[in-house]
Amino acid sequence: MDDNYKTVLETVVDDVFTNMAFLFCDPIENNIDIHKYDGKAARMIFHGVVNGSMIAWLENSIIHEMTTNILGIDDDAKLSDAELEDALKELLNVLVGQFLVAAVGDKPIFDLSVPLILTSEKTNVDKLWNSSKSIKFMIDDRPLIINFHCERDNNDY
Amino acid sequence: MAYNILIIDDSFIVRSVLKKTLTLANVDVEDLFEADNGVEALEIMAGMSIDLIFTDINMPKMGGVELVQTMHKDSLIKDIPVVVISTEGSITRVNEMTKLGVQAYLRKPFTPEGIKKVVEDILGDKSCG
Amino acid sequence: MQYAIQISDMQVSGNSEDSLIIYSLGSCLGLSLWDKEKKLGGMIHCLLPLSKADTAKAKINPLVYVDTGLPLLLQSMFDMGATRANLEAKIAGCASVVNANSFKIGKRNEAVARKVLWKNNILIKGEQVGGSLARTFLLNINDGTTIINPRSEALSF
Repeated sequence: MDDNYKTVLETVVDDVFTNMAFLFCDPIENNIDIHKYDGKAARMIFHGVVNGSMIAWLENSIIHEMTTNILGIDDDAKLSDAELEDALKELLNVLVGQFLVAAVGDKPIFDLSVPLILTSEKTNVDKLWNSSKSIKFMIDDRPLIINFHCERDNNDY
Repeated sequence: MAYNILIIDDSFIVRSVLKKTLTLANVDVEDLFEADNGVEALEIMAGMSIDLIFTDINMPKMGGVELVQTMHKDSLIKDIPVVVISTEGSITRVNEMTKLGVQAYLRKPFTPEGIKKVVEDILGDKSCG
Repeated sequence: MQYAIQISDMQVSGNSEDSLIIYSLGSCLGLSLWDKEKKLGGMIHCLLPLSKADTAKAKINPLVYVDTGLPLLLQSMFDMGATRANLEAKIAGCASVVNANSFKIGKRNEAVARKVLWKNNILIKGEQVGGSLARTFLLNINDGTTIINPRSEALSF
């Protein structure tokens, strides 16, 4: 991933999680055993002066905490898979929108796809974790991965 | 005066946050309608008199831009105040929407306080208790 | 009487002649609550966002942290007869007055305050947060008015 994009994306991820989900994420460089964690991923594609896509993979309890925070309900509220997936998609939607303006300015208009949940079969979390196009964070002891590529990059994570 | 308000967003979460905000802000709501996309929204507008619309842009079937363009051509609904709430931050997009009569454009993530202020700006200070 | 609220402390009052004040708010959170029916007010001055940073310290004084302190202020107000629907919340401080780290602390203090209020179904009525200047924050119990820097360039909000 382009270093400039990486810096911008790190700032955007921090801002969006803080302001939207009331969660604080810290970038990590060291390795963890990503297989220990279960999570969900969503993907969104954009076309414009830059073409590309973003994938957000979040450990499941982060998604739950984020959803209760956004809705302003009890921490231990029961939520359906549909509600959790909706929150993950909305988070990705906001990440992409904020990132594009931060990266290329507020003049261009982008054609954004609707965010889609990736099935677990299609999500190779190992590959996501090790991809050079991913930035990785921890919220407490729980991981999240943001994978980003644009038109000059290879699409394969 | 009580208002009919229409919230258009394909995200259940966003619609819930908006509904909760309107409740906490004590907006005098007569009826609150929800739609997943522009097509559903137009169906609701065909049957109900709406006083204020919140709409997303990026939605399946019909997005917010096409919805506002369609409303602009229909004399019966073109004057309904529209608030766009979108992740898109392009100033070109904002100007385009403003030219079509959109009254306010809020970027996601929004705060409930920001929503309350927009409602007061459009419907008047007395719309919120 | 005027009560100065020190760091990691709070005060509530139902006396119309009282005012509550926090001096030199930097990255700390200053938050006031006022019940418009009962004419009760409260104010808290928290240093850090999350108690998990030092749970032992949080046990000794929960008011150090926004996530443990603010619920206590709310409870004190309810114990005095305040109700959620009548509460007006205002926040101040959360600035970045020293370095990048204090910027994160200020931002995170603000985010946790927003989360706790949102989960308690309370909207924020006024805010003077962020920036790089220290603030003095005053609440008048008789009418709920709040003033930033009452002695110089006073700003009501």
